[in-house]
Amino acid sequence: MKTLRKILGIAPLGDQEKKVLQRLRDEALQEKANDEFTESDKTAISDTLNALREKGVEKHPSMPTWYLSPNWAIGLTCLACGFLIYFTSSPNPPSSPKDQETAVLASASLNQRIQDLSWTEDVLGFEVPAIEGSLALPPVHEWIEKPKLENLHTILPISSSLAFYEEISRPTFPRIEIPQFGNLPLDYYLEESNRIKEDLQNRFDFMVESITSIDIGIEG
Amino acid sequence: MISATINKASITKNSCESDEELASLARSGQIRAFDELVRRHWAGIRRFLLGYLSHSASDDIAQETFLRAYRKIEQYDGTRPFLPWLFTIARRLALNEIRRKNRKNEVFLPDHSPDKVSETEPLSFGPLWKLAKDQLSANAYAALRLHYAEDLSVEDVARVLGKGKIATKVMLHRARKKLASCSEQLKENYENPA
Repeated sequence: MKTLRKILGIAPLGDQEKKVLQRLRDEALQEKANDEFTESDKTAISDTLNALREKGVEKHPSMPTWYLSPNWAIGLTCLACGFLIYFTSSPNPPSSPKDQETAVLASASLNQRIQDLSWTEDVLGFEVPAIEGSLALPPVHEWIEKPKLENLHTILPISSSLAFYEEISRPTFPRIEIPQFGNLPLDYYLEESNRIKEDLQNRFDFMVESITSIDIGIEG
Repeated sequence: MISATINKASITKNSCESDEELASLARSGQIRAFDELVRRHWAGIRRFLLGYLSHSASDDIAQETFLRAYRKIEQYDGTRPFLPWLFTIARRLALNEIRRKNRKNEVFLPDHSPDKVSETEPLSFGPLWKLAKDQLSANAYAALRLHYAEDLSVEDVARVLGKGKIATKVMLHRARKKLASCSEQLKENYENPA
C-alpha cells in the first residue's frame, strides 16, 4: 500500500529518492548550461536546416480544403431526416394504369376471367365430368348428428391436409418396438394351460394320432 | 547554404517565443522559426535518443526527426504542447531504426563502458544520467529524461511512450528506486572514473 501510494505520488518520497530526483534535475540543468555544439553537431544541424529548405512542408492529403460548420451539418441532417419521414409516411400513391387492369380482372367473376383469358380455351377444352350428388356433397347431416371423430379427417379436407402437413413436417424415425415387460413365467404358464385345456377338450384325439406315428428308434 | 556558425550564444529575434508559437510560425511558412526550434531541442533529442541507439545512429535519427517534424508541421495541433509531439516522432524513428537493424541482423551494442574516454560523445552527460542510461531500460531512461530533464508532465510522458499514466508512474518509481540503490556504483565508476 505504501509502495502504491509512492507510485501514485500520494505518499512522500524517501530521502534517498528525493536526493536522486534533485540530482537528476540539477544535472539536467547543468547539461543545458554546458551545451556547446561540437563541429559534428553544427554540421548536422546545418545539414538539417538545408534539407528543410529543400524539401519544404508536406501538404497532408487528408487535410480538407473546405470546412462545413457543425450547425450547417446538423441542419442538413435534419432536413434529410424530414424528407425521409415525409416520403415514407405518405399515403399509398395512386396506382398506375397497369395495376388498375389487374385489379379489374381480380374483381371479375371466375368465369368472366376465364373467358377473358384466351389461352385458357385449349386448357379448358375438355368436359368436366359430372359428379354424382352423393359424392359431390359431403354427408352434412350425418357427420353433424353422429360425428365419428376417428373418421372426421376423411370428411374434412382441411384436417387431412393438416394431417398430411404434420406427417411430412415430422421427421420419420425408424419404428422401434419396445419390448413390453411383463410377467413372463405367468404368461408362459397361461399360454401352456390354455393349450392343455384345448387339448383336453379335444379328448386326446391328437395324442392317439400322434402315438401311432411315434417311432422309437431303439435298437437293441 | 547555411554557414556553420550555429552555437548556443546566437540569439535570434524569435528566441523569446515559446515552442508552440514558433511551431505556429513555422506552419505559416516562417522557416527561421523552425530553425530556432532545431537549435533549442537538438541536444535534448540526441540525449533522448542515446537511450535507444548508438551515438552515430542517434545523430542520424535526430536529423531525421527534425526533417520529419518540419514536413509534417501542418499535422501539429497548435493547441497542444510541441515538445511531446517532437519526442513522439523521435521515439518512433528510433524504434524503426532498431527494427531495421534487427531485420538486417545487425547487433546494436550501446556504449555502456563507463571507462571509455568520451571523445566521440559530443554531449555533456551528468554522471547520474550516464548511470541511468547504462543501467535502465530504454523506456525507463526515456521516461526519466522526459519527466525530469525536459519537464514534461506524466500524461505527456505516457503519450510519448505509448503507455498508460499509471504504468508510466510505476516505471518512474522503479527507475528512481534502482538509481537510488546504485549509489555505490555511481561513486566508483561515474563520479571518480579511474
